Amino acid sequence: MSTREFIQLFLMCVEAFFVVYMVGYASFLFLSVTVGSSELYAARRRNELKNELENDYYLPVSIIVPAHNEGVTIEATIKSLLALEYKLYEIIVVDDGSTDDTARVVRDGFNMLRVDRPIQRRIACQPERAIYESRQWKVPVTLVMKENGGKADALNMGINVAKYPYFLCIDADSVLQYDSLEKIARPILEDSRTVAVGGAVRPCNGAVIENGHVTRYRMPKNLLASMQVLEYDRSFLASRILFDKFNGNIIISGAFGLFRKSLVIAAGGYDDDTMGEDMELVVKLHVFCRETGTPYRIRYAPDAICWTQVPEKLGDLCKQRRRWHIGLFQSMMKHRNILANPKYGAVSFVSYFYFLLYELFSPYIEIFGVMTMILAYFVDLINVPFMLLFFAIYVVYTAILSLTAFLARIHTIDMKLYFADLIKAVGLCVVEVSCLRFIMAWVRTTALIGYKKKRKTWGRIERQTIEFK
Amino acid sequence: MGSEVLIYGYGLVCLSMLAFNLIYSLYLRGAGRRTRRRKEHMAAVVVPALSGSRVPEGHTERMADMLRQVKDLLALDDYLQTLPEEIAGEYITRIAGIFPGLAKYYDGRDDMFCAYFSHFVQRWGRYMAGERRKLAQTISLYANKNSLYCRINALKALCTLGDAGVLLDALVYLAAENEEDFPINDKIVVELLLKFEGDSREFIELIWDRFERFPPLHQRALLDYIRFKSGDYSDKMLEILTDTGRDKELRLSAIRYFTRYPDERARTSLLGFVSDKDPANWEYAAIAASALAEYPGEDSVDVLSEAMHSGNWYVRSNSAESLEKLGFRYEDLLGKAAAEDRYAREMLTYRLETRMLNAERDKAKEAAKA
Repeated sequence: MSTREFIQLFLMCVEAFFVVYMVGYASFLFLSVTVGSSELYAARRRNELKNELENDYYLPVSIIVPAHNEGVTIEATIKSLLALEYKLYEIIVVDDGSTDDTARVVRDGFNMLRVDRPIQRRIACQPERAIYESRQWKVPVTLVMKENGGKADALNMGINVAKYPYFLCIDADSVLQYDSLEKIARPILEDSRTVAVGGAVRPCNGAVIENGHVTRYRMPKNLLASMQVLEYDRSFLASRILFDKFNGNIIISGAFGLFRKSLVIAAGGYDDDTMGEDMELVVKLHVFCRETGTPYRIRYAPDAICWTQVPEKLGDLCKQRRRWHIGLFQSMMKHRNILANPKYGAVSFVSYFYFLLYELFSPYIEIFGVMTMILAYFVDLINVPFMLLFFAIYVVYTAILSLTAFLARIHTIDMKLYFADLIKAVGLCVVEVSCLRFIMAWVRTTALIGYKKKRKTWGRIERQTIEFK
Repeated sequence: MGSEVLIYGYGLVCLSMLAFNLIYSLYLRGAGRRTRRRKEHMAAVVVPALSGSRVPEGHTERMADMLRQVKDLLALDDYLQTLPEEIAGEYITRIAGIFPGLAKYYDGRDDMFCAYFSHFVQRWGRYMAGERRKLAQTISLYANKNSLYCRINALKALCTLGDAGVLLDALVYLAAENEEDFPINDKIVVELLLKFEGDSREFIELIWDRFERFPPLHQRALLDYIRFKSGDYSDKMLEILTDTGRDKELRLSAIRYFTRYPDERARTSLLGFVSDKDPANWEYAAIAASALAEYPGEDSVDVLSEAMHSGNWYVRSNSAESLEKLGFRYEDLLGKAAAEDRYAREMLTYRLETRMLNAERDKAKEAAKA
C-alpha cells in the first residue's frame, strides 16, 4: 500500500467517524432543543391553567454563599437574597480566607455581631477564624470566616453551619430572582424522593434588577457577554431538560443548586480535590443512591432563575472554561466506573456517554478534525467547495438551534425582546458557532496541561458591581 | 449524496423551528387582546343573570354549553373575580346545577383541563351547596389521574366541597395506587387537609377508622393534621408514642402532639427519649427535649441538665432552650456547666449570644416602627 493510498484509507475512516459523530450530535441537539422548547411552552400553558403548586408550605432552606475576594459583588448578592419572596430560610456567607475586604463589607453592611457559635463538624473542613451573626434582617444572616481551603471546603463549612434540612449553594457573584427559591423548591414538594434540584443560570450583564425583579433586560453591550447569553440558553435549555426526563442530569451548576443536606453529608459532602466540585457532587449522589438502593430524583427547574456575571474579557473567559474543563475531566475520571455500567441505566448510557463524547472529548475531536482537513488539503484529497458548504450548513444549523433556544427562553418568561437585540442575537449566534466555539475548543484542549498544580484554588475573573437596586 | 440529503434535512427541520418561533411570537402578541375580548363577552352574557330572582330562560343551558370550553371557564373565573364575592357567589349558586354535568364532561378530557376545572370548583365550590355530593364523587375520580397537578387540584376541590367520606376515600385510593410512583410530599398533604371546609371532627373520626390503610408517609401527614386541628385525641396519640414498632416519623409526630397539648401520661416516655444516649435516636431526644419545656418538674430539669452534655448539637440546643423556658437563667447554668463540660459551655454561651442578637433585632424593629 502506497503512502497516498494509506492516507486515502485513513481519511475515509476519519470521514466515516465524523459522519457518525456529527449525525449523533445534530440529532441530540435537535432532540434536546425540541424537547426543551416544548417543555417550556407546555409549562407556560400549565401555569395559565393553574396546573401548578401554589405555595402555602415553605421548605426550610439554608442558603450558602462561598466567597473568596468577592468584596465588589458580595453586598448585592446578599441584598438579592434578602429580597427573596420566601418565608423560611437563612443566609450563610462563608469567607474562605479572603485577602480583600469581603468580610468587612458583609460585617459593616449587615450590622453583624461576633458570636461563639459551636459548629457540629459532620464534614471535614478547614477551621473557622470567627463567626458573626445578625438577626436584624428578614432572615438570620451568618458570616463564617475560615482558613483558606478552596470553594468545596467553604461549601462543606456552610453545610456544617446550616440549620435547615435543605441547603442551596450560590456563587457570590450571582443574584437570585425574587421567586427563584420558591420555584427551585417545588420539585421537592412535588415528589419527596427529590434529593437535588438545579436551577437555570442566566447572564446578568445587561440586566437591571430591582428588588429581585428584572425591570429591564437587554443583550449585553459587550459582544463576548452577548455570545455567552446565547450559549447559556442553548446549553441550559437543551441537555438539562432532556436529561431531566429520565433522571439523568449529572450536573447542577455550582451557581445555583438545592440539595437535601442529610444525603450530601452521608455521601461525604463536596470533594475538595476537584475543581468541578458541583458536577462531582451530583455524580456522587447518583452513585451513592444507586449503590445504597435509595430512591431518588435529581431534577432541573427551568423557571427558577439565577442571574450571574459572565466574563467580559476573553482572558477571563478562557480561564473560566479551562477550569470547567479540568473539573469535568476530574469528575468523569473519578466516577469512570459509571461508563457502560448497566446498574446506572440511562445515567451511564446517555448522560455519562454524552458528556464523555460531546463535552470532554469534543475539543480534541474538533482539533483533530481541523488537522485532518489540513492534511487532506496538502495531499489534494479534499473537495473544498463541499467542505465550505458543509461548514456553512453546520454554522447555520447550530446557529438556528441557539436562536430557537434563545427565543423559547424569552417567550416563556414574559421578557420584552427589543428588535435591536433580536438582530444582535441573529448575528452573534453565527459568530459564536463559527469563531468563539473554536477558540474555546483550543482552550479546552490545552486545559489539562499542568492542571494538578491548580488544585484547591479559586478561579479569578474580573468582577463588576452588580446593578441591584 | 446520502450525507447531503441528511444535512439539508436537518437544515429544513431547523428552519421549521425558526418559523414556529416567529409564529408563536405573533400569537403571543395577540394573546392579551383575545383574553380581554373573551372576558368582555362573558361579562355581557353573565350580567343579565345577576339581577332578578332567577336567571333568564335558556341562560343555564347556554352556560353549560359555553363552559365546556376551558377558555370560557377561564374567562368566567376572571370576570367573577372582578365582582363582589357575594354577588359572584349568588350567581354560581343559581347555575350550580350545570357543574356535575361539566365535571363528567371534563373527566373525559385532558388532565390539564381537569386540573383547571378542579381549580374552578376549589374557588367557587362553597356556593354549589346543592350539588356538592354529586360533584365530589366525580372530582374524586380526578384524584387518580396521572398529572400531579390534577391530583392536587382535585384534592383541593374536595376540601372545599367538604365531604369527609369522599375526600378520605380519594386519599386512601391515591395512597394505595401511588405509594411507589408518586409520593406527594407529606407537607403538601397536610396543607391540603387544613383547607377542608367540612366538619373536621367527623373527618378526624374517619381518619382514625381508616388510619391503618395509609402508608407511613401519609399517616404522618394525617397525624400532623390532627395535631393542628384538635387536642382531643391524646389516647390514640399515646398509643402511637409508646408503640416501639411504629415508624419513627409517626412517633416523632406524637411527641410534637404532646408538646402542643401537654398530658402527664406522656411524661415518662418523653423523659425516656431524652435520657436515651444512643446516637441513632438523637431525633427522638432532640424533639422530646423541646417537649419537656411544657412538663415542669425536677425530673425534667435533671434529664435536660444531663442532656446538655450530649454529643449532639440539636439535643444540647433544645435542652438549653427548654431549661430557660422552665425558669433557669443561662448565666446560672453557664456557671455550673463551665467547670464540667466544654460542649455545654459552648452551647449556653451561644444561646446567651442568640438572646442578645434577638434583642438587637427587636430594638431595630421598634426603631423602624417609630
